[in-house]
Amino acid sequence: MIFLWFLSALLTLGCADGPECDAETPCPFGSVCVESVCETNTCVTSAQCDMEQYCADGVCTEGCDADSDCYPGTACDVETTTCEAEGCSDTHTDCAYNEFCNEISGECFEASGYYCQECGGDADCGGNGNTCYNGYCAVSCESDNDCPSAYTCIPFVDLAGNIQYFGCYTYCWLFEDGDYSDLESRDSMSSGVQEALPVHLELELPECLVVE
Amino acid sequence: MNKPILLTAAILAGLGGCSQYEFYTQSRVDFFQQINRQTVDILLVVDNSCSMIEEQTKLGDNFDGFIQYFDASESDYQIAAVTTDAIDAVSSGRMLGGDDEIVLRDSGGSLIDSLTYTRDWPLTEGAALSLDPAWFNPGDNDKIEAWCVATSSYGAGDLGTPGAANPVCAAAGPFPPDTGETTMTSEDTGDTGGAEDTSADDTATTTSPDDTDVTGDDTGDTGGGTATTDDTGATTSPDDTGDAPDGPREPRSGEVIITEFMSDPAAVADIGGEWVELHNLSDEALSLAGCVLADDGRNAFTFPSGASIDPGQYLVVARTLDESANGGAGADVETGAEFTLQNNVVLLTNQTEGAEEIFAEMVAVGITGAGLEMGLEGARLALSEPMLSGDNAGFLREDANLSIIFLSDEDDMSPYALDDYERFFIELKGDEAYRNPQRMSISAVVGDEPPSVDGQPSCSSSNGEAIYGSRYVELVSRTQGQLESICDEDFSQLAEELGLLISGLSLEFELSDQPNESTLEVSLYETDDDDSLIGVLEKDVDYSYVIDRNSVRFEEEQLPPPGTWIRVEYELLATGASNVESEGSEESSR
Repeated sequence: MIFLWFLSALLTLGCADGPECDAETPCPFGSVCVESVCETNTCVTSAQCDMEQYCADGVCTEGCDADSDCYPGTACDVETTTCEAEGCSDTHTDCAYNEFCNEISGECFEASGYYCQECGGDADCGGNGNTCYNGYCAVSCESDNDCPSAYTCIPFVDLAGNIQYFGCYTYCWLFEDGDYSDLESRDSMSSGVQEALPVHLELELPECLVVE
Repeated sequence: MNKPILLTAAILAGLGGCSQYEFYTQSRVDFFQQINRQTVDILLVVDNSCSMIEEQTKLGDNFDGFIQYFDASESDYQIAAVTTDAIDAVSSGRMLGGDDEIVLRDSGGSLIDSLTYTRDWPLTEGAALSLDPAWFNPGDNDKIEAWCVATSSYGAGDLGTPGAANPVCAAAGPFPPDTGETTMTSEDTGDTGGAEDTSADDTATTTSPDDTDVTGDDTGDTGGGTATTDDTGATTSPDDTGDAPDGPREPRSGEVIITEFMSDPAAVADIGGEWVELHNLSDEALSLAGCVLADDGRNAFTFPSGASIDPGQYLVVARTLDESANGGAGADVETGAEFTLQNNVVLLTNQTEGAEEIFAEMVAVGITGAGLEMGLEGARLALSEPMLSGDNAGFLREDANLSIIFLSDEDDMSPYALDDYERFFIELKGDEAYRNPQRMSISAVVGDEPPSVDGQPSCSSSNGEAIYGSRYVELVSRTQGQLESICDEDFSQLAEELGLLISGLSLEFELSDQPNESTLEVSLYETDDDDSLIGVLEKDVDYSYVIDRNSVRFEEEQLPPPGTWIRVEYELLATGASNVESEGSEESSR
C-alpha cells in the first residue's frame, strides 16, 4: 500500500502533464500500461497463469502463446492461440510399445510383422534374417531406429562372443498378456493407479544374448 | 520489500517515469532473495544390470557432495532408491533398504554359508537378530522363522549374545521339518541367555535336519552361490583344502555358519557397532585366513592371516575391535569399512544417523537386474499404487518438491510414450508443477550425447561404454533437470551439481542492467527490512562479478543463507563503455 500510495503521489505530482506510460515510459513492475495508464496486472509472464492460459496485457487469458502453455503431447498453435494435439516425430520418444511413428502424418501406428511373435523356430519368423529366440521372433535390424518403441536392436553373440546378427527385441513375454498399444495409458497413468506389468519370470534377458 | 528498502525502490521506480529519469537512471538497485528452506523428496532410479557396479560405487561415495546444498539450504529431504528393473510384478518399484546379504566364501570363492535378509525381517534398532539353535545349519539359517530379536543385553546395553551361545527363540517358527537327530555341543545351545522359552527340549540336545551334518552334503540350499555340495569332493580329508598341512584348514561348505548379526546398534554408531557372529559346526579348528565376508554389492572383507575359529565356537566379526565404539561386542576380527550391514532404512533423511554409509548401501542396488532397463517404468511403479501407500508409504509428501534422478548406462525401454511419463510425474505435484519446475524435476546421469555414428556408444570410460539415453535426456530437458554424463571418471562434481539443482539454492544472481563493475555494492540482509543488514560484502572475497552472465556469483562456502536478501546497488555502465574481463567471468555456470 505504501508503495502504491507513494508511487501514485509521485506520478500525480511530477508527471501530471504527460501520459502516465507509453512505449518509452514503462510502468513500474507489477503494473501494465493500458491506454497510457498504469494498471495493476495479474500476470507478467505466462508462467504465472494456469496451464492452457497465457499472459496477455497483464491478464491471464484462456489459450496459449507458447508450447510451454500446453500439456505434454500438445503444442500451441500461435495463430489460433489454442493447444493442439502434437503429432509424433520420433518412434522411441513419442510412441508406445510396439508402435512406429509416421513422421509425415504425425501418427503412431501399430507395428506389423513378426515383432515379438511367438515362434518355435526361425522358420516361423518370416525369413529376412529374422530369428526365433526364447520363443519370440527377433526381427532383423541395424539400429534402434529400425525397431518399434520399447524394443532395442540387440546384438546376438555366439559363445565365443562374436556378433552373429542384430534383432529387435524386448521383454516380449511382459506384453503378451497386456496389449499396451490399446491402453488408454495417459488416463490410467494420471490416476496414479497402475498394476505392475504382467510377467513371466522364467525368462531373463541378459545384456548380450548368447546364441548357440 | 518494505519500509526503507521499499521506499528506495519506489522512488527509483516512480521517478523513472518522470522528466528527471535521466538523472536517476545512473544507478540501479536490484534485490534478490535466496531460496527458502526446501522440502524435497528424491527418488534415485539406479540401473542394476551387470555393467553398473562401478557407477553405483562412485555415486555412493559422493554422498557428502550430493547433500551439501541440502544442508546449506536447511532442506528437509527424503532420499529413496529403486532399480530400473520393472519386470518383476512383486518387487518392481519397491524402494530399497533393509535388504542385505551376508555371504561367507573361502579363499577360492566357494560358498561356505550365506544369508539374505529383507526389511520384512524383524530388524530392530538396538537388538541383534539371533538364530535359533535348532536351525543351526546352513540350509535353514536364511529362513525368517529361524531368527528372533535378541533379548539379553551386552556391553553398552544393546541386545544380543555376540560370541556366546544363542538362546532358543521364544517365538520361533516351526522347527525344521526334517527329522534327523544331531547332538549339538553345549556351547551351541546350552546358554539361553535370557530367552523366555528355555524348555529343556530346546537346549542341550535338539533335533536338527540331516544337513546339519558338517560334511559336504549339508549345503543343499545355500542361496545359489557357487559352492558345490558333496560333488565337489568335500570329504573329511584335510588334504583337499589346499591349506598348509600343519595348520587348520579352511572351512568347507556349511562348516561355518552365520548365527547372529547386529545391523542397527543403538548404544553406539553403526560405523562401529555392527557385527556378525560366525559359528564353527565342525569338530576341528578352521582357518578363515583368506576367506571373504561379502554381500552382492560393494562389500568384501578378507579375513587376515591367522584368523581361525575353534570347533563348536563362535567368532565375532565387527566393524572395530574398540569396545567403546562397538558397544562391547567382544569382537575377534575387525572389518573396518569393508563390510557393512543395511539397517531397516528405506527413506534417508537429514535425521538419519550414519546417512553417508546408508546412502552408499542404498545405491549399491546390485548387478543382477534385467538387461533391458525400464527406468521410467520403475519410477512410475514406485510412485503408483499399490507401492505408493504400501511398501513405499511415506515417501511422497504433499508439500514436498519431487526430484527423480536416473542413473543408467542404457536407454530407457519403458512401454509408454514419453509424454505419458512426463505428465504422470509432473501431475504427482499438481498442475502448478507444469509452471514451476522446482516442484518436479527429472535429472539423469546417463550417456548424455548422441553418438556421431548411429549404433555407436554415447561415451566410454574406464568402466565401459554407455548407450545414449535419449529418453532420459529428453525428459530432463522438458523438466529443466540436470543432465550429467555417466562416463565421468569422477562423480564428485556431478553429485554436487545435482544436489545444488535439487536444493533450489542460487549461486548466481543476474543483474537487471549492465553495471559499472567498480561501483558494485553488495549487501546481505536477514529480511526485507533495511534494519536487518547482516553486512556489506567485499567483491572478489565474498562474491565475484561474472561479466559473461552479468551476474553476481557466490561460491559454495560464501552462499547467502536460505531466505536472506541480497541487495546489489550499482551505477549503470556508460554507453560504449565496457567492464574489463574479470577472473570471475570464466567461472562455470550451471
